[in-house]
Amino acid sequence: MKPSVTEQDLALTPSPALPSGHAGTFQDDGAQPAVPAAGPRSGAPSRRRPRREHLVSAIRRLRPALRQPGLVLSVAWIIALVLAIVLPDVVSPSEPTRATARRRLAPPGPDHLFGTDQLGRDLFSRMVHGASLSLRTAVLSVLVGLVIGAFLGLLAGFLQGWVDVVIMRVMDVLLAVPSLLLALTLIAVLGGGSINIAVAVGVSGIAVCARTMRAEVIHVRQSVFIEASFVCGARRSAVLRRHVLPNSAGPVVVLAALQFGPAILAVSALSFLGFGARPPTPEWGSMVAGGRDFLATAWWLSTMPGLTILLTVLAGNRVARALNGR
Amino acid sequence: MLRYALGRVVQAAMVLWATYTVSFVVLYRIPGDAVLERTRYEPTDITAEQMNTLRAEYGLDQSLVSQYLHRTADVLTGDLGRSLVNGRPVVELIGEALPWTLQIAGLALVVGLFFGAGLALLANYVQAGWLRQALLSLPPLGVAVPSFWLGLVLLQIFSFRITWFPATGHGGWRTMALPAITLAIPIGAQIAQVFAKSLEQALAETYIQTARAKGLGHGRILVGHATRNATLPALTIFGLVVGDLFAGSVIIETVFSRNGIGQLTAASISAQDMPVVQGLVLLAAIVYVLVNLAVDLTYPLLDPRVARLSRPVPSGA
Repeated sequence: MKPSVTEQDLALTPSPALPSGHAGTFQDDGAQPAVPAAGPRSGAPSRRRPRREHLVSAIRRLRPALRQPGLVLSVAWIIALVLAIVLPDVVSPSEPTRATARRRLAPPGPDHLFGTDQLGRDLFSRMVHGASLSLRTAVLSVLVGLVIGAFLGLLAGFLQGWVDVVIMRVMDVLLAVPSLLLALTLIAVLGGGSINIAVAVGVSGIAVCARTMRAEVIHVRQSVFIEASFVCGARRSAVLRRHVLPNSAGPVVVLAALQFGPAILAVSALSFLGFGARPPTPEWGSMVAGGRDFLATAWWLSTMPGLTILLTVLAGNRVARALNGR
Repeated sequence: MLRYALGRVVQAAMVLWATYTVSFVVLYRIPGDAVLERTRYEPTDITAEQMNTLRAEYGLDQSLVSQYLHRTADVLTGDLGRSLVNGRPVVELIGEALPWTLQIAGLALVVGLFFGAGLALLANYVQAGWLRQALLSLPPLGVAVPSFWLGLVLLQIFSFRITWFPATGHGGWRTMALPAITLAIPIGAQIAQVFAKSLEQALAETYIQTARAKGLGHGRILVGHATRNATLPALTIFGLVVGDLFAGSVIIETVFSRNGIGQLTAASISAQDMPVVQGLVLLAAIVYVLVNLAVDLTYPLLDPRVARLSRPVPSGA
């Protein structure tokens, strides 16, 4: 994962709106919005309007998005991928593991959209079925990094003292080892397989999540409404859960979205190296590896899954940037 | 300044020690018995007595703390142990592999730096909006491309279609070209992204307005005023770029069947050869820490304000 750019970007985004100037009024801040409202705000409807007017205002609200064709295409691509995950058998023309001896290494054409492989299996069907495994692994790895990282960052930023020092020094270790090497090391310990890959890639995302969360928690902790809650006699755990967490979760969630693309790259790289799912199971990274022996004769075998990975990472990065407010 | 430098050195040493300790705990305790691991590669008719002798030889019959102390003493004298697969010293294995990787990684770094920084400068120099947009859309593409696939595509085009470069082999610059380009593209893209952004920020500063008011040309302002100020924030990603070089070499050395650190890493992970894995982790950490230390110590030379703060700021923050 490449946190460098994202971290810097995040530093520029405004932190969640904090109530300032509420020093005198002790109000319950539990209902604070966790993420600042993004996008252009159209006038809020104060009374019921006819249906058509709703439609018009919805289109008007979408118009700025339509001015960014890249973003629209990215969202469309992600919707297509979700379809492939939810209904693989509807989308794909044949079974991913069915081999037909007569149609081996057929080039892309009307019969086989992406061609067939050395066993006569339809490449498009294999990619549709592989989407599920590749993307679920990537999402799981991001969640591992997000949940553990955010938790550690929350503890470090809120408790401070020696807890902070210990957690952040361990995070320094995680940052000192390149993420792919860290993932590989964990695979050496845990063994291969897609779940282990998800955990291994996820661990390398913990450090950046923890840093972002900690910085945000320290920022929120200094606000007046936290002080006010303590003055009111709230317990530390309650303040942490009701006030600190909702107000500091925004940036780390955006960071997690930004890590989705790199996670796909890392997961498919590990599969390419042969640490992922076992051969008959379709997976994008291992499909690229499978095409290595046919580079000169059947270009489509590695090119199609490779292009798919590229487009998915591009789409993921673009949507994440939009979430980040750009 | 001295206090700042000393703080950085101590911090770097702490990170190294912590990395060593964590990798020791993770790699030596969780996988279980190193002797059982080793017997997987040797004839299985090994007696229990021989196993115990082996355990004693590896020091596995001692407590964790005593193992840790012994191993730490060895590591401090430059002995990283022996490979479980072929019994050769880890330091020797790494020493043999390192030159191959350094060649490619060095070339890739130069190429990536040149084209990445060049692209960022060019994008901020051109006046036409569409050209700027087109140039700035290249780095996101370079960051998103899976390098293992990129290597295969380059092989397909330049080795099989038009036979400019050999697909594998180790001799001369022709075998180095494709791996280095594959490795350079994601790195150059990352450099371009960060540098273009910090250039843009520098160009928005008031001292640029002053320079412009004095009548300086666009190019002079860009090179003479903005670049030096923009280098500082861009320097912080250098440690990450070097880490990416390390990780990328695992992939390109597999794709192009080359010898080197990456090949050694992939092989030792597959064989669960823990002493070699720990050696490689330590090597990566040393490189990362040294690069970041160098960046931190260069900082005050480029920007005297950093030294005046005198208090070390957390790296990367």
